[in-house]
Amino acid sequence: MGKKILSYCRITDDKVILNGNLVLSNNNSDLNHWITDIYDYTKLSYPKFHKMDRLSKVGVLAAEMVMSESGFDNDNLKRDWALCCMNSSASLDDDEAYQKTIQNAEEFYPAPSLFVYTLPNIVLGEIAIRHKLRCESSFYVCEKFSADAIYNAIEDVYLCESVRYVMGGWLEVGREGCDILLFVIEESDNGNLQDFSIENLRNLYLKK
Amino acid sequence: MILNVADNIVSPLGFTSDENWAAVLRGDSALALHEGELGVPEPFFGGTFDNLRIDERFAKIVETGKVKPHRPTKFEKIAILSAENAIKQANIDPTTPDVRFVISTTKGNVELLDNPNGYDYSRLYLWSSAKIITEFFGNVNEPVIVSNACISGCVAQIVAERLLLHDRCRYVVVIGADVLSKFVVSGFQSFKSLSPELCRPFDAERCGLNLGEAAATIVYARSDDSVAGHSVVGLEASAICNDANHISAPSRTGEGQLAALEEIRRYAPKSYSQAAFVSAHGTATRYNDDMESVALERAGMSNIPVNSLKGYFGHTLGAAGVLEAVISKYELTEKMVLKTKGTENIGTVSLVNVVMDNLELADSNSFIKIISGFGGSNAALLFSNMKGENYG
Repeated sequence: MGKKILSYCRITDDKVILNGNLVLSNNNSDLNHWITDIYDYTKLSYPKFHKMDRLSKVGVLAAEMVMSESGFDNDNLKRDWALCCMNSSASLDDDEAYQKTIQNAEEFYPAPSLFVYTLPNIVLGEIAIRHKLRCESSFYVCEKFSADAIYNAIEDVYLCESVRYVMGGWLEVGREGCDILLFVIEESDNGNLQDFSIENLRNLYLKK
Repeated sequence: MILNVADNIVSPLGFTSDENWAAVLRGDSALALHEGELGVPEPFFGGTFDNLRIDERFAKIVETGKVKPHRPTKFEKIAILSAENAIKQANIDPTTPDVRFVISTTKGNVELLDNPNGYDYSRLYLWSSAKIITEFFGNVNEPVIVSNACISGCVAQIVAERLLLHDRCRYVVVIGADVLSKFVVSGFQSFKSLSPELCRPFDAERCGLNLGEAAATIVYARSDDSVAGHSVVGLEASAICNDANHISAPSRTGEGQLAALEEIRRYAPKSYSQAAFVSAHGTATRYNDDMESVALERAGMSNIPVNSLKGYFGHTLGAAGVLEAVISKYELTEKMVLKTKGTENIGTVSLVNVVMDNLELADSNSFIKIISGFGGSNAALLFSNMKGENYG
């Protein structure tokens, strides 16, 4: 038995890679349109999606793909899971949007619908709701993508005996654009699956 | 089990844990009405620092820094102030690779978005502040930065537990800190979460929370480490659980909080059953306090004494989980559970035994800390007293 990568999804400003296959390329769309293109690609029908901030949208889409590829439904309550993600800018993309609603005393209309997303862990809340993941969810901030940091944090999550699956990775949406690596890990003896290792995480992130 | 080797609280009520404990024992509160402050048009009740006192205190320690920070922000100053004293008490050398820093905050320097005040944009990144803090102490390791809304301070202690149990280091310095800003206050106001009066946790007439600012630090070590020699209270079990229900409201049935409580009971059934009290989140919003009452009742804890510290400090966001763990440690070792300041008539959907007057404890084996927040997060922590009557 070892920890294996059941499936992974890489989303950047110009492509979506799912389990090593290029499944969608961006034809010069800006980030908002690119997110809509990915939504259309996944054939997801989820009205809540349209209310979300960009980080949650991209995170939910990546989660939709890895969960479906790993063969999980979104109906059954899942308890033996954990969610563990990181990024660099926390919720700065949303912080700026909310700040605009309070910048001027003359136009001071703080928007609760924006404020709620000014926390980076909200994306994990959205993913938890969508896939009925009643389990640990924790969000960390790290200057740059670090396979070591993600690997170690997930290894530490497995100190909890109840955890069998972990959805984890890097969820960055900000000034530098969109930079996502999301994957599902399982304790498994399936030799056909990639090992969960620092080197493999690094390769998945760097793969063109 | 990991042990609290040393701790320190920096709040409007004092600059050490002892000062803060003495203040809450007297019944002092940091909360006051603020009108026309922080650029927020509506008045608000909150617990804020006298910034001059922070500057005075910081000036006294700035020379001890391995790297003297260039124009540290208020957030960075209170974080450093809280850690400096705790590290000194713990008598550890923070420059060794054996020490890791875990930093908990919700919004860091977000006030710089409103007024950059000559700071570079990069200062808005949480890792940028974390670097200033760890460099001050000459620590070479990458800090772990936890940003998990209101439960961040408890998650940071769980990270410390895992780092130590995995032998990734010998000591962990857990710092929780947040300051108030136009951003944070207006956001909670827009959510209609702020009380127009002093907060009344678990009260039938409660109408919202008060925000507060603070920084708190706990230095943790493994219980078998010699540095932990004289310390007695430690973190024995912990759990985090998402409700998977709503991003800005807790589960009405307390699902995530109940699951977290059940998890810590599985890990440490004896200490759990002997818990002398529960330190609740008790923000004084209708939904939070009702949810906690339901979760506690469902966990079979309708009779256990429960308090909330929000009437003393306000909701200190990323600092709350650390600050409240420290005050509760004093409550346990001093055998005195603090009254829930501000509460007159208990009124939650489920029965909960809210402590209304300071309560002397007959025994002091353990206590449970619960916390919840935006994103559907909940956590439960079980702290035990190694010198307790029935420990071990």
